[in-house]
Amino acid sequence: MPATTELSRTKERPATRAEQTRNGQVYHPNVDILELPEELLVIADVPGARRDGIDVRFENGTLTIHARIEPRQNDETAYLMREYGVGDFHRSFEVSEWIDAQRISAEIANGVLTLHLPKSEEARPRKIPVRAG
Amino acid sequence: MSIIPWRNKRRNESMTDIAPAAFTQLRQEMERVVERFFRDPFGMFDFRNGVSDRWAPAIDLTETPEEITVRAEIPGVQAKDLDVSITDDVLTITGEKRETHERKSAGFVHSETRYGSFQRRIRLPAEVDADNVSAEVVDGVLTMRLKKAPGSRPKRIAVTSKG
Repeated sequence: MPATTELSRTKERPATRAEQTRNGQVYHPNVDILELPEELLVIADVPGARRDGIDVRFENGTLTIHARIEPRQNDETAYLMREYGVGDFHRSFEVSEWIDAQRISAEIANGVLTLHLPKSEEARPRKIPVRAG
Repeated sequence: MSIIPWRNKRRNESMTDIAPAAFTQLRQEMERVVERFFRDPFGMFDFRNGVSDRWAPAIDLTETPEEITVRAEIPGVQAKDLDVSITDDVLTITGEKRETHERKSAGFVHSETRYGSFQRRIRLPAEVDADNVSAEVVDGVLTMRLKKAPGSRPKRIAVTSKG
């Protein structure tokens, strides 16, 4: 019989607790940030999140992701193994002025949230036409 | 954390934002190793593939008198890239998290997630009926329900008294 295992820290808990309406732990989602010629992508692992539970906000230069996660077990469940905790995901990012905040968009599939942050006109690569002298 | 396009960032700042990410990953890896050792020093219960560059999803396991439930968080892994099998009392989950073409072509700014193939083998706490297993992935969470074999279900024994 397996012993009850401790909650592992595969999901990091944020230093500051997010505003909460329910009890429970809040987690930092793991993210990748990729730079493409036209945009930055912020790709966050939010397993268990559904589209209607995602809240993406942009305020005063800060982009905030919040994903509401429904509990998968009730509080009394006795786990034989428990390597991760289940709770909301929350993380915020400072966004530079190189991003066109008006056109930020988001999509979710298979528990992965992708944010598209289009670069502003000045930050995009530009081809400079060369004229004959 | 701040999101600044790489080119501009390099011009303005040192690499301070990048280096700690690598350390964080290393530290987390080490914590996992230490924690795994204390959790299961002889590796009898869970033989996850050592500590390589491979990743393995975190799981939880619960049981009721009739069934065992195993859940794994596998964000970004599609059902078609998952394979679940049972041999005796060992449940094996193999799969692959594929890199998107954006990820392959992008210049990196910051990376915390893991890609590639994984395998986890879990010794189940009871014998199960291998023909009576369901596995589904919803929103990046794999849920497997395994019905216990009839012999493994608790049987209530009537206690009688004499005299």
